Amino acid sequence: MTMIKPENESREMGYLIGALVVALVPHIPSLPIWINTWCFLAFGYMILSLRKKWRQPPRWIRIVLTCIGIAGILSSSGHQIGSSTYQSLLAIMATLKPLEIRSHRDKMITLFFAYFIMITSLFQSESLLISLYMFFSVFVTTAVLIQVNHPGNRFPSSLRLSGKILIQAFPLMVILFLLFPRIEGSMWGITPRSTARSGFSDTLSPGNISRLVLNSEIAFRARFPEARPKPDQLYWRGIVFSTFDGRNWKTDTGAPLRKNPVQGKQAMTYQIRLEAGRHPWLFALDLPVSGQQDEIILADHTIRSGRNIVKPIQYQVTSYLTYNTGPMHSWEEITRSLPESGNQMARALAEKWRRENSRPELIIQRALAYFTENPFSYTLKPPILKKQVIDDFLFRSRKGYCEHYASAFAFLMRAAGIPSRIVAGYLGGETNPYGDFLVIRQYHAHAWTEVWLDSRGWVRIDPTSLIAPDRIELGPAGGLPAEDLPDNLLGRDFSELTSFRNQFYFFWEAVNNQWDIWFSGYSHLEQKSFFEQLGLNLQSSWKRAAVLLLILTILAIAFLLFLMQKLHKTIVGPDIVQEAYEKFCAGLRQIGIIRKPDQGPADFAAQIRSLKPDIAHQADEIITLYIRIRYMGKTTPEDEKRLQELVNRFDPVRKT
Amino acid sequence: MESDIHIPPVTLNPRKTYILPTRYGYLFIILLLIMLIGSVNYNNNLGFLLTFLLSSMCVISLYYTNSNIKGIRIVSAQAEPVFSGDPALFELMVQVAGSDRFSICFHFSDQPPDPAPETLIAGENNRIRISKNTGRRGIFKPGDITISTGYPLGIFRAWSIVSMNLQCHVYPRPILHSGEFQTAPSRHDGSTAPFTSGAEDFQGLTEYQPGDSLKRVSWKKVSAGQGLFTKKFDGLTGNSIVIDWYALAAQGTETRLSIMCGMILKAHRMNLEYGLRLPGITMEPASGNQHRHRCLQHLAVFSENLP
Repeated sequence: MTMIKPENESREMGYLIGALVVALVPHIPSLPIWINTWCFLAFGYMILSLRKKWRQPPRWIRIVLTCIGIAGILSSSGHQIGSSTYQSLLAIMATLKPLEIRSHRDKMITLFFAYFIMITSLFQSESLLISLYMFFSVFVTTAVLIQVNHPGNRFPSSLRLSGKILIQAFPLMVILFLLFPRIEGSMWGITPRSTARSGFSDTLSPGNISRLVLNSEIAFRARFPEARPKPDQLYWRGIVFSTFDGRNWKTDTGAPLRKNPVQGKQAMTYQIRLEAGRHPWLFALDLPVSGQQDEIILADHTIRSGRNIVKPIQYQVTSYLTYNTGPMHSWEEITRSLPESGNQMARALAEKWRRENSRPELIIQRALAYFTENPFSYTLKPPILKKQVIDDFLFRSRKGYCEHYASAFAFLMRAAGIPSRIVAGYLGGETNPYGDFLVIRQYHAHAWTEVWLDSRGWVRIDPTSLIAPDRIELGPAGGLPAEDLPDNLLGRDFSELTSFRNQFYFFWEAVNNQWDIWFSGYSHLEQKSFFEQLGLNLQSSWKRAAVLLLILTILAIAFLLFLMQKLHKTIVGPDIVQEAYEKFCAGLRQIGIIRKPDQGPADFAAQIRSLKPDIAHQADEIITLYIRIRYMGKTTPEDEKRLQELVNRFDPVRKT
Repeated sequence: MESDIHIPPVTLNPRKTYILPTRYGYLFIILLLIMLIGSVNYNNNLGFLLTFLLSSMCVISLYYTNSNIKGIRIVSAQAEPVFSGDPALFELMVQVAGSDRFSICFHFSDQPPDPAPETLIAGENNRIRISKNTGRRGIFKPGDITISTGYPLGIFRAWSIVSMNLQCHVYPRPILHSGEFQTAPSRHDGSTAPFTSGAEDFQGLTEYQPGDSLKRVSWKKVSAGQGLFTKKFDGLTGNSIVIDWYALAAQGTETRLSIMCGMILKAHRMNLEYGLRLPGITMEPASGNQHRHRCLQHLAVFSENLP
């Protein structure tokens, strides 16, 4: 008899709390500190109260705590109700639920709640780590579910069964995952609030890009099936800034779609997996030639997506590494204009260069020489610039990050009569020895300039490369003075593969990349090609849904048949005892002693005794043994054997 | 003593085994649907993966629930007779082959499941007790037994209904009789039996009757292969009385039977030899458990209209 003992009950509570904690762990980084503290204290209190056998707090305390929690969430989230508000609410509920667990029902609902918390964490991130953790989490919660439904069980055996069920569920899960029809976009246009930050906006002001150096998040990954470009060719074009208002650069909204094909050489095709960033810019190497269907290539040679990128996307681009953009368009005239006044010293300097040099190329060289001849330095912590930002930078502070140089250079060019603009994007990327891809992180963000030359079209000029030549080869850490390096770049010296840490780091990156491509990137397009590989050309998702339904029906029928067959194949061995007893009764029937169907053995023995006293002794022995086996519990196989022997020796017919 | 109702062994009939989601199962299915809708909306592959993992585990658990209930065999059932109004306790001997079965509930089909489920150990006789309240005297038929399990996840419940024709005698509720016993005129001459000293004197061996205390079984004889015998102890010397229906003419049938029941118990306790007289039935004075049981049985099934 299984009794639910109090100590079992408290152990079970411990497991339930454990399941909730496991489900909540992935939320920790995105929850406010006070919620994390709250959870820590609440679960700590619960575990302590289980140890010390404290009683559950009364109802009013739970109500007060609920009110405090909700008030706290509302006041800390302000007017914005975002995903972290919901996460906080879930976390608070998870801490309050265990306080009222009494019945089996409460336990079941708590565990279902844990599964629900799990899926909300998946909407935050789809990384490989989170995926692996998800399996761990399901494993633990299911074990607790088994434990709750089999009280008194030893927890390790619940864990074992949970693992067994999980592994057995794998094939069906894979089938469902591959076949469940995917649709384009989202069903109701509700999209999760992305936590990913992109450094770019449609305004470029000093400090915009240098701020990004602190951010190690992945911006995108690029996979090169063939050769990889040289480091000085890794300019990832994203945004073009054409309008200058005296302090900030703005994107030009007037850029039309690109109509004329670009002339160029050194075509290179590669795949990019872009992380979500809540902006429409897609990045490609200078200069993109063609993209995929739903992206637009603008006449400023940037690629736009139709909508903001709120979840990671994959696309393929072909770029020319050497190119000629051809004649200037009328909408590009804006790249000549400067505000009426301001930054007079810079204007005067540019005017002087124009007077001294006839050709634009010479003016450009002169301008670049100005940066190398004067004590300019590359730093993340430039002094604050006064109102005349260009003048102040060029003639006084002379310290800055790429956006300062790009901005000043573009200004000088325009002042000298050469059309120019700023291009922002990323420069470089981490190479991974375990994969044919580059990882481009936010700290690779960069800004450079383009000038327009008669014969060559738009030409890329990166003034920063003169100040910090190592920036190109070594990434953002290259060229920066050591005291400037932010923590996330310190020690990021991947030039060597010798250390185990670096090897692991790259290996993990490569695995993650594969996971993102094969798993997270599985969408309606991949599904279509998967069906094509199976020989099914299914264009509409309805057809795919029909195929899924068909396959599921087949699987369900197969499973049911399997169950029925298992069920009918009786795994109970022959009942030796019953067979022997029936043989005994059959023997007696031959001499006219008939047992009534509901006659008990003791009664039957009495009947034999009165009818045939001569065989009574033998019959008694058999019946006594039969009673012992069948009615008194404990029996041994020897008893059963002995009963068989006795019955075999018993022959009432011969005896009479 | 009665107590052995022989039933042929019953193995759960797979055709009468059913599986349906429990109410938690339905709740879980709703949860899975919500998860699926969320995953479709956010186009979140990991969400799909979790939803499909849980659904698949659900399906696999169906198999476990099913194998947990199949192949359960009830090899015997017995019940002690009870007095009207007391719960009748039925003891089933249950065997399972293969592996142990967990969280199995046994209960009468018209009653809610027992909150404390059983674990059945493979290859052993598992003693399962289930009880049901009795009503009137007579032969009590508790009806079918439902065997059910929610193992392992509690989201599916498998059950099977077993018809075994269980029955037990329900004696009339005894009313303690304060009056004197009528002695049987044939044996002694009117005097009530005197008590003898030394109540627990060993008297000899009688044949074992199912229901006799196991403590009194002579295991020496058993191990010698001579069958079961009960050690007989006696506190009183024989003196016989008659418990007579007609002597209680004043009361209604049920009250009379209850009084007679009380008298039988008293006489048995005092170890008197007693006889029974009912309309159409006469039991010669005797003593012992078997006799007591026979007498009480007559009371249990007595019907005035069909003497």
